[in-house]
Amino acid sequence: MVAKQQTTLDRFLRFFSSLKCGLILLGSLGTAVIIGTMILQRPLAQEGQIEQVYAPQTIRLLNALGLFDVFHTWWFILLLGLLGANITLASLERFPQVWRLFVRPHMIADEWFVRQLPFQKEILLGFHAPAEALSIASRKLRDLGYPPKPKILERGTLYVEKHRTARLAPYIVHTSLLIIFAGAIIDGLWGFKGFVTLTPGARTQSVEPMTTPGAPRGLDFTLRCDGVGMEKYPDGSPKQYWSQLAVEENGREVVRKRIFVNDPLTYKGVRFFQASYAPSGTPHKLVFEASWAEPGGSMHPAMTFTLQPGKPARLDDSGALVELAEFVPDFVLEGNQISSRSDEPRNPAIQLGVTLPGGKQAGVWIFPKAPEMAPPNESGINFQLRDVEMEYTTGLQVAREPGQNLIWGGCLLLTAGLMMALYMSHIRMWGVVGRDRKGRPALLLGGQPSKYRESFERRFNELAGELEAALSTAQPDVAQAIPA
Amino acid sequence: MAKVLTAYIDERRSSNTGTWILLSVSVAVLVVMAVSVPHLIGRSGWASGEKLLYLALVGYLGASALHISSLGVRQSNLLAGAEALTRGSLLMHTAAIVTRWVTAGHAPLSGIYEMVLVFSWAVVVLHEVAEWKFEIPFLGAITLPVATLAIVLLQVLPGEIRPLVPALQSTWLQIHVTLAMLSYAGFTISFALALLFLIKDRVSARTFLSWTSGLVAAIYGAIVLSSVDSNLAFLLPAWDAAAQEKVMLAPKEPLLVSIPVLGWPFAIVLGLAAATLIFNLFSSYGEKAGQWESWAKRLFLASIFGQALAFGLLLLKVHSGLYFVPQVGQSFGVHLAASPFLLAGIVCALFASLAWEVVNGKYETIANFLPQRDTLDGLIYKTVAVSFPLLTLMIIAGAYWANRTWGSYWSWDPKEDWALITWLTYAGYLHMRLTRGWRGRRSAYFAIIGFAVVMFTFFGVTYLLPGLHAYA
Repeated sequence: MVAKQQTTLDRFLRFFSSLKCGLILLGSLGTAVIIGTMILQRPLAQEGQIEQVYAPQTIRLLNALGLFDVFHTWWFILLLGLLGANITLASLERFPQVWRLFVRPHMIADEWFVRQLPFQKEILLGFHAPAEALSIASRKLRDLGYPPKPKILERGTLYVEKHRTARLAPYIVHTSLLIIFAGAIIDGLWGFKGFVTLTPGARTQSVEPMTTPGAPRGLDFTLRCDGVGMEKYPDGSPKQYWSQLAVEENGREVVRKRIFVNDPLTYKGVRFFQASYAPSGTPHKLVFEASWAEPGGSMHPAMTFTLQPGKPARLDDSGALVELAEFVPDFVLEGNQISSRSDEPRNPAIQLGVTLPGGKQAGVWIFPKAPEMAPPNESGINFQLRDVEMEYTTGLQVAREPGQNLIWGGCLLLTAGLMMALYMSHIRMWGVVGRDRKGRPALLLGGQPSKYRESFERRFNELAGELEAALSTAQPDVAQAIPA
Repeated sequence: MAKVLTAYIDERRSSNTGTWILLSVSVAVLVVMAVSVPHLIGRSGWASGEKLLYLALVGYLGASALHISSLGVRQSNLLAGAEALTRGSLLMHTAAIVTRWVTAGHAPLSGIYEMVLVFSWAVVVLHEVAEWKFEIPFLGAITLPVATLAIVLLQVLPGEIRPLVPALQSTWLQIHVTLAMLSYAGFTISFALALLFLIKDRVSARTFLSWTSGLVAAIYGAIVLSSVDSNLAFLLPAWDAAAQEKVMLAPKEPLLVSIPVLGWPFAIVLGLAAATLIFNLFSSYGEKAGQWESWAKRLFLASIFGQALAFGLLLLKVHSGLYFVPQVGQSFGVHLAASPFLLAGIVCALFASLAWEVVNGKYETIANFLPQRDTLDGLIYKTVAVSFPLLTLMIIAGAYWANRTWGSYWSWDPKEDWALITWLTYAGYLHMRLTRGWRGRRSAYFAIIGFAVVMFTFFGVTYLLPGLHAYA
């Protein structure tokens, strides 16, 4: 026989499908993941945080190595790809043999074979004929839950087998991992993640992408927001956010749903999640109390009125028209500039445009929490802010993951495969008639488990004991010993 | 004649020792409980389970002491006492969890306090199951101290019952956390079995000393690096007693109080532990091995006294009023709740050191009483084989929950990443065992390293990594 020359390709494939290669890849992958947790990652970091934490030279170095976004760099994805290839090749190489044994296991045995097995017992036949003994033993084993295979029994071997599928377990596990990989790849290529911010009454047909830079992604339907809300616990902390959403397609409303955190809206594979809920910085409604000096000297009793942006209010008794000119929710004074620290109405600055009956116009600045800072009021009307209701926007996260079902299917298969691989033992037992060590006719019983030897040993010994009892008590069977 | 007499006296003495230990620990437990009665009176703390938990802690401390002593004194009433105390405390522990559940209206599975509460409970429950199924002696000497340490940590973690924020209201989250606590507790049992295996496998007490002194040195090194300044004063965050929180100068920057002199015992312990390690290593490689070794042991014993001193002094200083902070011109008190892991580190080092002393003193006895190497080895595999699928399901449940809440089943978040690394580590263990037939010491080391990874995933990610997500 001529030795087959190993080409470089052969050697490469051999290494690439080996456990050693797999371990190297797993080790590299693990190290990369650990590094990815130790260094601030750009997708998870806030604006400018990286620049704050790391020195410029460090940033340059880590950028070049791709360590600020380890999980999306080309070499990480390559590692994952190589690992997938390694698992595939390793399985493909070893699977055919396992499949062959799975489909056609060694079933017919002889005395020599049984004596090679790790667990053996010799059971005296007594006065039974061999064929009869086999039939009694077969019936007993069937009664005990270990039915021997009839066709093999006809050939003179008692063959019992359980859980043959256990042999396939590792391949099920690896296949499930590959399925999960496939799902993730599909999601990476064809899925997207984005967000959209809506106020009640707004409609949108596009979604901002999660990772910038990126163009907004269009939807082939319209999402409309009909309302937003928040429930609070007695202590004021948020209990639940909700958005009342509707989907319109071709001008018709197709779906309507109130979504909550943990309960998204799904339409055409796109899912909308309730993510955040915040004031938009714009007021929805302001309630004021106004009072002014009457011609005559007395003060007109305070009058309450409501003001909405874009809707001037008339103070009937005085004839003045008031409209909202500017609203700064949380003002700070920087030099002469008023700017807002946040969108919450913690320290509002309100400018009203007042048109007095004579036509005179005056701008009035009101600082409800810092009245001493307000410039002089030239309108003659004293305004007190009583209440402000802010407009709220709802932040929705949008996701489309076409590979999702593959991933969950893969996960289920993985769990099943793992439990098979760890808990299921393929047990096989053979019984042939021969002679024991003293030369007496005996049933030679042998067994072999694929794992959990101690518990198999116990069970095997128990079964052997039962068979021994059965063969010593049963009467000689005159009828033919072909099993039923 | 003399021989018979000494043998008789020895036997009486050892059977007495066990009884003495049992009696003294029981008395100590009762005394501590009696002393705590004024603290326990009053309605607050019962509804949240805090006071029940405190009783459980006292019980577990006693049980740990009894279990560790039973390493040295094999006596049936000592062991029975250890088990009885364990079970009684477990009852208190269970009651604490149930009352918290009922009061909060949701299962105690959100936030680090509740997770540690359930984790420690799972460890003791699995310990009971393992003791019953496997009949391994000495398991309690490792599992009980771990559970006790966890509850010590609970005493200084913020434990108010908070209503669930919207994202945490999902059943999938509860499934995810339950699976996590069960699998982590399972890996704790494999860790305990692996340590027992190494003893049975006659890993020398000297090797154990290197590792234990290394652990103590690492813990005290971390303490000294983070909290002891160049004047050997101890720096602790200032505590605002009214607001029940640290006084912060800026986000992530607490105001520090300098406690003079307190840094000395910590630095000394660090020195002693490091010296022990060095001397011990020398004894393997140098001549005059015996001398190096005996010095190492003496230094280690000294470090234990130092540790006790450091602990006592710390407690004293923390409870002795206000400290003036010049840069702010005000005085502040300090509280251990500001540095939960300081307390945990000190107690962990102390437990490990005391356990080593007992093991060293009675090495042969212990090793002889343990079951066969192969049995222990097989049990490590079995416990990992049960915990690993639980870990897998935990990751899957977590991904499913994240997918329902945020639309992303995997975002390469540090917590997720480390769960993955834990999974890969134990997958590696199973692979090596099933495919390569790795047994014995390599298998035990893998189980120990795996446990370290589990602990990092549980605590390290939240407290040590660049904090981006306020993951509980």
